[in-house]
Amino acid sequence: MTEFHTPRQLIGPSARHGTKTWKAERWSSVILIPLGLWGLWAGFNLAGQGAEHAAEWIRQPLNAGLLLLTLAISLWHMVLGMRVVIEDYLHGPTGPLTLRLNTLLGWLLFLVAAACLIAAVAGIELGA
Amino acid sequence: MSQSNAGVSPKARNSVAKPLVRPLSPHLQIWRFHTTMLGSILSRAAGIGLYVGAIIVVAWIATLTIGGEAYESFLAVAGSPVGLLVWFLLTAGAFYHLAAGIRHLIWDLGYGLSPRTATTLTNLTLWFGVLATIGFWVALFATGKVQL
Repeated sequence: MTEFHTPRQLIGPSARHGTKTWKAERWSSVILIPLGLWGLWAGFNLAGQGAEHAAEWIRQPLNAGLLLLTLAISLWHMVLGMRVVIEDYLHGPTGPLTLRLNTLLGWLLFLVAAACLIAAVAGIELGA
Repeated sequence: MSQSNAGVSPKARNSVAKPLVRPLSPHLQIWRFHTTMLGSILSRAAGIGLYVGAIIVVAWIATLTIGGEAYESFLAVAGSPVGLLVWFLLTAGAFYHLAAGIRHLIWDLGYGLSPRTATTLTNLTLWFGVLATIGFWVALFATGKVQL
């Protein structure tokens, strides 16, 4: 009967998580269409307006919230994307380590941004 | 899939070590030039560039909330000619990756897959990337938000 189903040891990672990953790549890109456009628009409005204006902007809960949401989904999307690049080009022993560093960097960036944005909205001074 | 085990006898299959084979994308070395090939490579390059962009945006958030000298240093780099070039490339990457992503979603839904339509779609995304980026920066300079 082994001819008619996949032998257990032959099930690779993509057979187990492939559909889920594929969907995550697509859904994150769909959500990023409006959020990415918002980010570009926000960047356009913030450019060259000075530190006071930017600090005032980031204190607004709506701006900080949308920024964190956009960043979180971007980080999710880019970690998935970079994983594909690593899998395509790094076949040596460095591959698994690079994959871990990729995920780690994504989480690190998210946590730093989340901590800073929460502090900004709450009015907590981070600087000296 | 050259690494597929189809056609291998059950006995041989069972003796094979657990292969961690994921599907791979076509490699840079084996592409023959075509618009869709250029579009695909540029989209991936833009994605890698935007990865760096995310790091820069987090650095912006962190230095802005810390304020003072930290943010002044960030602005000094971000507003320098090299900094502006990086922002320019990031916006180009963002606009192109956005359009290429929409094109990819259209393909994923099963539309526009004939060679001719695929090429047209890719040309549209390339033109969108170029024109949107130019428009964005012309507006930035015209409104005086950015100066060299």
